[in-house]
Amino acid sequence: MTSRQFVALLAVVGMLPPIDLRAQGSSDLASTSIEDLLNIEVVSASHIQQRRSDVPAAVFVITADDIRRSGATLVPELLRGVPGMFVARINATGWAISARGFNDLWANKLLVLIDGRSVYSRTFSGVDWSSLDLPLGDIERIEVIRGPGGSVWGANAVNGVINIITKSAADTQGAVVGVESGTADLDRVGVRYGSASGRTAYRISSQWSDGGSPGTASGNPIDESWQRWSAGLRLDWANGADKIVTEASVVAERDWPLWASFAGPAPSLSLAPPTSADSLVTPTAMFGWTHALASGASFETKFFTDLRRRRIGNGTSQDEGFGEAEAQFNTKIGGRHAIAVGGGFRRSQVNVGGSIGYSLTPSDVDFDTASGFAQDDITLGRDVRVSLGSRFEHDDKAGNALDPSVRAMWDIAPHHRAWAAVSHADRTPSATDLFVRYNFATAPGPGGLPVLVGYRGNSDFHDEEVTNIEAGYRLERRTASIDINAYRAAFTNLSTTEPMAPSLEPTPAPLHLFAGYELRNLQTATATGVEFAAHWVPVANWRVDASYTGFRFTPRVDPASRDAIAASFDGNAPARQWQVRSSGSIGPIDVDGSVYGASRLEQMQVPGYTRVDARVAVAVSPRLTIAATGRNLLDSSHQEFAENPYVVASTDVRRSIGVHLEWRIK
Amino acid sequence: MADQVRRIGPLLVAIGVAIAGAAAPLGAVGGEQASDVDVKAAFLFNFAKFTNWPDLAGAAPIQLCVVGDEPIGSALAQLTRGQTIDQHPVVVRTGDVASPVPCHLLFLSSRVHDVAAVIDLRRALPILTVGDGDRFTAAGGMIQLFVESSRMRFAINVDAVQRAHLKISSRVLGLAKIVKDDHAQ
Repeated sequence: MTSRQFVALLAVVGMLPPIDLRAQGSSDLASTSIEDLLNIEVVSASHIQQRRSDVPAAVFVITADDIRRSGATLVPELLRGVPGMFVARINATGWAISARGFNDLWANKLLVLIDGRSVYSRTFSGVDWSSLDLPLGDIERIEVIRGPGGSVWGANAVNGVINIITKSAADTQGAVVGVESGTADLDRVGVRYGSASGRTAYRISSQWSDGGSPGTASGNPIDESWQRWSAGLRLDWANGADKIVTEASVVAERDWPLWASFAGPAPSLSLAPPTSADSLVTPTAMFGWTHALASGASFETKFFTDLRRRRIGNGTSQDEGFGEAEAQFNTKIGGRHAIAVGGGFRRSQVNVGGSIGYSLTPSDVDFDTASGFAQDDITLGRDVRVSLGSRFEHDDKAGNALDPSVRAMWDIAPHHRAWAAVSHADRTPSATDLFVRYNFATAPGPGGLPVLVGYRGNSDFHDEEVTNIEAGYRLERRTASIDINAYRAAFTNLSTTEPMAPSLEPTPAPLHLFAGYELRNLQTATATGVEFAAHWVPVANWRVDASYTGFRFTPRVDPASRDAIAASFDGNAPARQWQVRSSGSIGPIDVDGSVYGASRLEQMQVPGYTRVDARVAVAVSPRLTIAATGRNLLDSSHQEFAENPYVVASTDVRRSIGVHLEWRIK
Repeated sequence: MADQVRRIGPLLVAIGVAIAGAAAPLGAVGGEQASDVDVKAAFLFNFAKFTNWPDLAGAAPIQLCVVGDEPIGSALAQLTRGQTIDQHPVVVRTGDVASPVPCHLLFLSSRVHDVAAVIDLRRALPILTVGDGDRFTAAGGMIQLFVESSRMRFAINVDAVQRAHLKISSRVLGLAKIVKDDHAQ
């Protein structure tokens, strides 16, 4: 981290002291007598917060209990088995994660938020999963909403939104040390400490992970070692109608580059072999304030910033920074309308430098995005609710986008609900879509002129768009639930890679012919699918969960397109996925297991696979828990994804046996 | 990158100014006003303080469970941090109805589906049930929180309390609206 970045981080952290000062004169409700409580005027702090089963959308929630029982070590692993999601490990640090198709390392149709802070990268319109090194024990829950969420969340919420909600500082008090290690998995040491006084509570956590074990690609050994350190702070302050949450984090990573062109068959002029490891440094900060008004309305505002600095082992640098400010007002009008209006401004800056093989033209790209949204949840009679909403976004590079949605929910009978929705969302172009230039190889050409083969972005690249129709049904009882939904998504303006007519280029010298490919919007497609989730509690200490995802992708390529593979694109997602999970407790012993199956990835030619994960945990004392985990137990290794082999090496997922100790010191 | 930081700098300054502005009105809040979430949490703690459980051993913790309302759960966790009730440590748990946790006090938010069935399952158990749904005592619940002229009030279904062999202090009963099974709200 440069000193300037550090100063930028401090500038945000430096805003904390006023919170502490105000914590002192506040009244303490714990010591207020019950008689006095009856005289306090209450103001509603509950926003338009809805229970999962109340939301007219395809929603799935991963709870803290699910996270603990999963034995997972990284956030991506938690998303496997969520209906509608497809999660595949590409290599030790690379993940392909998407909802409803369009999956790869740079999957660009999914929005991820941590406590409301978007971690969307404008470099490639996706998520850098390496930079999300959250200690899993700090997560309260993960809400996965499939389908377009553009009307509320804005750009990139095309096929889904993942909200990662961390525990409040009050819920993470005391000191905890965790140690874990696996035969083909990472080794990790994590610490957390939380404390509180008066109205202020905080926690600090930090973890060091070493994924040092050598990997294999198609059975051959490959170095995919990595190390990552992260630290995070959360500070909560509350006084009556006001709540303030402040968070700061930093992630630093070093990994052996898996950019396969170094070893791959393509003659590579540009990407010099790596001489050192890749590195990534990501400091972030967020400040959020919620104020409840006596009328029952509430106001919330949020500021956050995120810097990402990646160094690739051959000298390429890829930097991104952004700052965002948001405000939202919630109120109720009459008994029927719950209104939310809000807006925000975001500035993103992307810079790529140091390499002839990969660059942006211009090398510095700024994006200014302003947006506003309004939503009205209308209660019609006892049994029907309708939600109308839209978001308008103006981007100085991508232009205007309007993302409306109409949703309705019907309480058919006690425990039975049906819902339906029509929604639209846009995926705004990334810096890569608009301005990238890749140079792949040179070859001798006509008349002694060298030919440079490459790929470039297109400054006329348009928003990719989707209009989605979906409907679902929920049965929810105490000991069992069923949640099923189906959708049909119509995509327009999807990206294709089109060959360009050769042109003369003077730079880089010598004079040469550029024979390359260019990004265009010449594909439309239809995705249809069905998603199913159920849970059952047969006896008090045993729970069984099951899920199924069916997916079909039908591309249509514009006759003007000469993209050779667009017509066979299948969304890079399996046609069928299923999972069955069992969670049981016998006294202080937890026994958990899951079976997950995915069918073949047709275009990538990755065979279908079944994986079994298991965990046994014993609470030796109230302070010490010891867990043994077995992952991918069925086979010694298998492949889950095949990223473009000229770009990134895909390695095998191997069987791993591990242990995890958690010691609560106080 | 330094260049980026330089250009993001003004935004950070703007954020700082905005926060300073936002923080200013905070001082005015307080006194006689509090959020419903905090007040409900404070009531839950008080109900626990003034209830006698028949089966509470020596220094066993008193478990307060909150279902269906995470803000109340975390407010209660914050409020009861380091607090004891007659030397019993206080433990706050949040979760769903299906999770098998022994509770002394069970708060069921109005958002919990089929409260009557949840309560019925625990009918004769010494669990103090508290809710904020409209017909909570009618559904067999013991204490119902409700808002009247912007103040938090509560009703106690004394029949339900008696059935569970719990004893609620007369100090609390004196402040409550008393209801019985046949007249429950």
